[in-house]
Amino acid sequence: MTEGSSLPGAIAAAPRPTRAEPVRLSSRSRRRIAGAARTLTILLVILVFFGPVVWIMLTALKQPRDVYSLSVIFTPTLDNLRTAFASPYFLGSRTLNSIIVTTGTIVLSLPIATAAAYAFSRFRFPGGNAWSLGVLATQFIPPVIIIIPLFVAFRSAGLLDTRLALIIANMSFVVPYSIWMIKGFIDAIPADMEEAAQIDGASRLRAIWDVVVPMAIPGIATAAIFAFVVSWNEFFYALVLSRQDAVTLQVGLMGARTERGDAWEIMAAMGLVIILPMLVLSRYVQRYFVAGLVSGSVR
Amino acid sequence: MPGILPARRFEGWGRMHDRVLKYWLIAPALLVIAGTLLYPLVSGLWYSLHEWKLSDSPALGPFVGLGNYVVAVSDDPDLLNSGRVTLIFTVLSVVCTLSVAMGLAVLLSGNGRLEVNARTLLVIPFAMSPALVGVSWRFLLNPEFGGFSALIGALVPGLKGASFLADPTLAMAALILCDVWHSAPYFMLMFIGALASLPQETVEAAQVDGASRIRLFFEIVLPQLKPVLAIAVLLKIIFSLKVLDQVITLTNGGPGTSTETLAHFIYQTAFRWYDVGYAAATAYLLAACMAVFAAIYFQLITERRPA
Amino acid sequence: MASVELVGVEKRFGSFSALQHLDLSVADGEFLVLLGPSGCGKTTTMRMVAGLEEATAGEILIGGRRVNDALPKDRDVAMVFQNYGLYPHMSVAQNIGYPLKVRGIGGPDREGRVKRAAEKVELGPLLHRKPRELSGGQRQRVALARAIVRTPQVFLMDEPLSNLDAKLRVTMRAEIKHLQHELGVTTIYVTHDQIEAMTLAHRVAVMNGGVIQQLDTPEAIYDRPANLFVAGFIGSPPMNLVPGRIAGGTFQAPGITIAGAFPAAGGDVILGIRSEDVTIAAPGEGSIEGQVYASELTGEAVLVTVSAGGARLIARAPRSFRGGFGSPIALNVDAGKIHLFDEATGRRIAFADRSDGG
Ligand SMILES: Nc1ncnc2c1ncn2[C@@H]1O[C@H](COP(=O)(O)OP(=O)(O)OP(=O)(O)O)[C@@H](O)[C@H]1O
Ligand SMILES: [Mg+2]
Repeated sequence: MTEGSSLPGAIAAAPRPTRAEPVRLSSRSRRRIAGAARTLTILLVILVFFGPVVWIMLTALKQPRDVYSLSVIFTPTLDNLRTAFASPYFLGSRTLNSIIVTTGTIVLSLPIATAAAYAFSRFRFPGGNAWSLGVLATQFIPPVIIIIPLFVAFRSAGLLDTRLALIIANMSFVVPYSIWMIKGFIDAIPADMEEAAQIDGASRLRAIWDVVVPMAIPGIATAAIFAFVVSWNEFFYALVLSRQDAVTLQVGLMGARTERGDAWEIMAAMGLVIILPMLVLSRYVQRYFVAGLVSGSVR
Repeated sequence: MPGILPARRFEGWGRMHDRVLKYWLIAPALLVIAGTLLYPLVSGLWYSLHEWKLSDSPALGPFVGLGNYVVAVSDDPDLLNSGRVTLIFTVLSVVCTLSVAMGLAVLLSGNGRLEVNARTLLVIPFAMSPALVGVSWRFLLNPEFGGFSALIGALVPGLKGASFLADPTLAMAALILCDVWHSAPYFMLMFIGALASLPQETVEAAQVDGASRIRLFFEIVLPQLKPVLAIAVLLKIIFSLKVLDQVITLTNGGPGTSTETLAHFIYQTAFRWYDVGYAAATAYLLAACMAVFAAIYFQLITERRPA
Repeated sequence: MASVELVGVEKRFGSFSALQHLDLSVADGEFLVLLGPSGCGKTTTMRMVAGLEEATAGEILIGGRRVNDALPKDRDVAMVFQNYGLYPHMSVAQNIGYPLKVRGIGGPDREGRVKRAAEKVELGPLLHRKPRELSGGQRQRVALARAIVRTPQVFLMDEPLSNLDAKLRVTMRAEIKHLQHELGVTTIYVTHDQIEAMTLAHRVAVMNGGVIQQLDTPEAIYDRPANLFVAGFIGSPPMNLVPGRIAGGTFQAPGITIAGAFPAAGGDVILGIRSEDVTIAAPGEGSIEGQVYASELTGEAVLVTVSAGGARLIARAPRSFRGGFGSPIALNVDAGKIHLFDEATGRRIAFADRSDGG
């Protein structure tokens, strides 16, 4: 967890070892200036990293003529959203597609990943941990390789431009990564409890359901947040695999590039819908998604 | 444990023995992986040995052996250009991202209110889709009404009103900027985690010894972060090598082919020119590059965590 | 209720052999204690009976039925785990009630049985707590209650009292003994506490290095240890063991000569004598002469370590004993209480006037 972290004082803030300083006043004011400079730097960092997000969200609420000025003060309007929901942008159906694809990916992936994570954690397989490392290794295959045969296969199966195709494509990265994340959590749960459950009369599957799953909830939640973020943000597979009916929010962004040039206010409106869930979930995104990714890659 | 499955009737899930059950538990996941990763991997390799224009025929074209690979490595200036672009992008984006991330980590690792909130806000760029990041920066860098290009114009007079995405060098700079903005927060959190786990005594000892803060950082802190830094470098190389979404939405490879990364080149070859066989072959070349770094990465993480 | 039999059971973890050819049979209703040093395979034996570990070879029978391939849930045993194995997300009541829930027993019947089990281990007021809100001893009692909430064929208890304080341990020991007697359930109980083994068991199996060294009643194990390991392991302080020779009916070691009814042709042996069978005498008046090496007050007695020749012996003296370091002292041994072991094999040597079989 990053919340509780702190860099040793010397580098971050400044409680230096107290020693008798001959010129006390000046050192104190020097420290105060340093503190102010630091605060200012942090504010600048926030401006650079968060400003653009704010700018996009504001643009979404601007009148078209304000979009093309740099003004920050304007009368907010929902016109852009209204336009975006209408033809030819269909923000409504794009959002629905995104929601269905994301939900479908999560609902299908997590049980599959949990079962496999449990098995990899608790049982030995011939070949040792090559299996679980192999699962992770699949994540280093570049998507451009995967997509070509998938495209060909979906085309001949008549699955192009369906949400199912997008869900299947998303599972290719959500399932392996979730296995890896959830396995880390299950590894940390001692086997005693599920053994006790089996002796108490539960079958292995029932013990998993009654005992392991409830205890692995934080891990499963982490994987769920991860699955949500990456499926919601998935762009490339959807770009290749969808045409009309299954177009998601991300691909919909491209639709705002018209012959007359980019319709920025529409893009911003779509961006708003894309970012909104991340803002709402930002606490969890930080705590679970990033923490999960970081631990998954470093540990 | 005997590895041979005894032949037995299906007795219901509840009665199933662990020796059998464990394979059922991983079966669905293996099915997904086999269907969505292994199958494409193998058939992609097969395609790469053929000449196949998807626009002409839905059936696999004539077998050409290593022909596609030969053309790719010996006789394709466009591919060469993409390789160069990818190299430049990778080197610069790795260096910039990790330096920025390290700076941010040092700046924001405290537990003050400002730091904690800043960290939460900084996660948003990373949680944003790369596609939207590209679109947003395209907008922000617009010379007429882009907020960011106005800011840069004010800071660097030479760039006032510059059309970032129309100039080859500036477009590459924009692509790198956009990538740093997107991925630095992730590595920042990784570094903050690593900083927090440094033994406090080493720093305190150096402080007592009277080291300046700069020296403290470069001589005490940074060396201890080496293992994490190594992993971060490898991960970032791998991420940079396959960068694609932002390229599509920010520059679409332009102007000309000045920002056409390998992944983008493959994408265009496959889905714009429908030259599937050749695209698959170049994709395998890219995968080979990544495999080298992935192998080192695995070496590192398994070393650190003896299994 | 049922008997438990292990016939020629072996267990290997990879190349490491944890148990070698174990034969053990526990009668119906018997209380058997597995006693041995850490790592000797007690838990492994128990886990194989429970079905948590597969036997590499041999047969396991419960109630005469071969259970090698039966799942844990079908063996009808209850187990108290060394580290409790409580379900952290369930309350105490849910923990205790889980075996009943799995068997489809619900409603007031379950509630009543949970309550009764909880009261037996004095957990009544804690039923709504979560395991993490309990002390170690309380957790252990929840684990016990979960085992006794139903009447299984066999109880398996893996050091169920190890985390209790000394006082509670004594109380719970009595409680377990009473419960087992009342329910009459066959019980296998693991401990490395000898007192527990002695007080609880009908029979004790002393294990070492994956092999049962001796299987007998507590009295027999104490009075007639089958080999050097058992002799040295059982009893506190451990039995005095003195290597020497028997020649002409006397035992001789450097500085020590003991006369007794020894077998005529003895050869190299190890003589064993418990500290309570050694008495202290004034210098020059005993069969063993030496100096006081150390003396320790245990409460009801004083343990005097005496160095004599090349050996050290411990004697139990009355608490009035006073003797400074290095002061000369003599010891007498109760000839009827002497044990002899073959130096080469470590096995007990039976000799004439002793009624034991060896
Ligand atoms: N899963 C395992 N893999 C490998 N070796 C194991 C495993 N479980 C136990 N062992 C080994 O088998 C031996 C017996 O272990 P066991 O747990 O039965 O000892 P124990 O008698 O219960 O000891 P303690 O009194 O410390 O609980 C030990 O040497 C242990 O290291
Ligand atoms: Mg044990």
